[in-house]
Amino acid sequence: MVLSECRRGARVQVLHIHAEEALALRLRALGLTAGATATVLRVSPRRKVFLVGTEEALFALGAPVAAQVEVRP
Amino acid sequence: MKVLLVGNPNAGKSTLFNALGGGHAKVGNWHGVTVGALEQEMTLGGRRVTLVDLPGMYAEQGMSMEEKAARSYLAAHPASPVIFVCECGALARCLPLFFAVAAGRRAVIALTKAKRFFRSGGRMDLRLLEKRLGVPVFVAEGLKKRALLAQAARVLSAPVVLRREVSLGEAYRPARVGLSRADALFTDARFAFPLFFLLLAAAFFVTFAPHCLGDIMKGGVEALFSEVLAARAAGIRSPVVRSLLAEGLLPSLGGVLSFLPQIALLFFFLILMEESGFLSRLAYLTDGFFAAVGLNGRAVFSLVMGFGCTAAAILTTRGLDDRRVQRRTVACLPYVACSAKLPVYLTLSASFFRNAFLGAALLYALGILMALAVALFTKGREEPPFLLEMAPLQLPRPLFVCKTLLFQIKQFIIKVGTVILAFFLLSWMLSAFDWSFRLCAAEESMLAAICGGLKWLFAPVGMADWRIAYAALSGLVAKENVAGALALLCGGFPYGAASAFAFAVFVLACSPCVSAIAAAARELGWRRALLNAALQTASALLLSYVAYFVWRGGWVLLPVVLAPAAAFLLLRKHHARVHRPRRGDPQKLHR
Repeated sequence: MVLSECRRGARVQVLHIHAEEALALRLRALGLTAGATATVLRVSPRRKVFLVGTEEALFALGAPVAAQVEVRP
Repeated sequence: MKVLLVGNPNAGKSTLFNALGGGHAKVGNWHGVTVGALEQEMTLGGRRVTLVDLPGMYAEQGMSMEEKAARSYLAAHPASPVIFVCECGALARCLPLFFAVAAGRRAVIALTKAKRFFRSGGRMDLRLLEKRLGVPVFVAEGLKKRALLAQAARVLSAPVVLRREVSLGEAYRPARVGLSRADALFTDARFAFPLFFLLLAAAFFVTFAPHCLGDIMKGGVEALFSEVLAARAAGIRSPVVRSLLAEGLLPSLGGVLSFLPQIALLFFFLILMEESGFLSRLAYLTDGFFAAVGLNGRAVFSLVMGFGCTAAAILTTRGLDDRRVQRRTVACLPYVACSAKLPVYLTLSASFFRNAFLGAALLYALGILMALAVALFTKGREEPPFLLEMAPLQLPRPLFVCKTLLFQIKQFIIKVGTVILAFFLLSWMLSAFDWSFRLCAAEESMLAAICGGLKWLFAPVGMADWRIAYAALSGLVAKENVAGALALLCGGFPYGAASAFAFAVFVLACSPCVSAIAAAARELGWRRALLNAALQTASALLLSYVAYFVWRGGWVLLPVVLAPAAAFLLLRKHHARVHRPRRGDPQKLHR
């Protein structure tokens, strides 16, 4: 599954980032590396924006970006 | 020798830059404040160095324009030592960036936001960290200047960094990251939006409403100029000096300076918003809305900055990751009412609204609507990616707020005392003398002869008056000039409500001042910046005619015109172009 399919409160493990290099580098710099744990803290009402926390960062990402992050529960 | 401050956005580089060198780099609690390299000469460890504050970067091959600027600077100075500034809580994830930028250089790591890190359960052993990383590490927070300089000076004798992978092990335990109770509230739209509008309304009320703080302070400054100083000027014997002071500088400069208290209050609320970390939450909450008009939540930083200064807001667009979004945001920003337009709005709104507060609020709202309409009109096919780290929520530090506010007030007074004073001196001289340099009425002056042909510009809105046209165009130098020019040449605004509204719409929609045009040129190139300025001024004139027509009773036709236009902009589809090559030449068939 991908991050954009997760519900609020879901705790997932990152498997792979399928984004272009620059975006993937930014996501990794925010702690979304393969094997890292992430928590979906908030989801906007129309599921357009996700507020995600990793061990070291709290960040918001749009649904198209979240759809490029492969995760497992 | 240059010493470079490098690190993630909002890590504290500019704060350290100011603390080490006594500079005035702009600081704010949001990602993307520093947009270009700032340099400052100073003495470090007994040597003269140039301390350089670089824009924040997440990765060596980062995607934003700011990151590219930082990367270029690093590449241009391969031997310069680096002070890597990093939040305590982000140390582990910043190590790849540290080794990427510091490899082959002398480097130290300056850790910031230590109190928050320890309060959230984080732990670290500085000696062990130094041993594992092989570079000096120090906590910058809470150090006095001498101690800070001593720690920073270690970079000059630090070992050269070798690129490697390091595990922090028992030297470091990360803090807990999650939503605090305050953050849970500020990221909930049901709480955050009403709070934001309440704060906005409170800011407007305190600043503009009659008999409130802003209005009372403005009245005091006006009384100083119009009663105390004007009375003294009236007693001057020399007719030239009396004309210069009583008819020239006092009404014009006094007119602009009387708005200083209200401009200061506006900046006060902006600084509170910047410093609190609320802007990041606003960007998260509004991304869906901005995506609908072709921008993303990140644009909220630039739009909010636009309430202070359009030129500064244009520079912050460098933090956007997409060039097309940057161009669209720059095109929208002139419509957001900057603080310099405040004197004009308040002068004019008194003619069409009994309550200046409502008049100013209407003009601000109109500007935002026009900015969004421009964004929607220029919307492209693709949705720009949105990824934004949340700045920490914090109570604004009183000392920081005071220092920043005083700096803004000082900048305003300097601007009034230089650019605006020079403009008014020139305007007075040209409007008080004829070609033989004899004192005369404005209608017989050199300025009337030069600008007489402009009177037709605003004739369709009931103002066939060269003075109004001159005042309008003086805003291209600095927006504050408009109010001052009206005071100098007309003693106020001499026309009715419909003309005042039309003129206000022109000021709202026309090209920004030369500083903003220059800022746009730095980002987009001169050709595009000048084209934008010309289109904005031309469309502003047409919009002022429409505004006059609407005010005089044409509003009934507005829904007939606006509804189809809005439907087209919101519902239009962008069709892919289909090309069929003919004899090797691609031919566009249809959209």
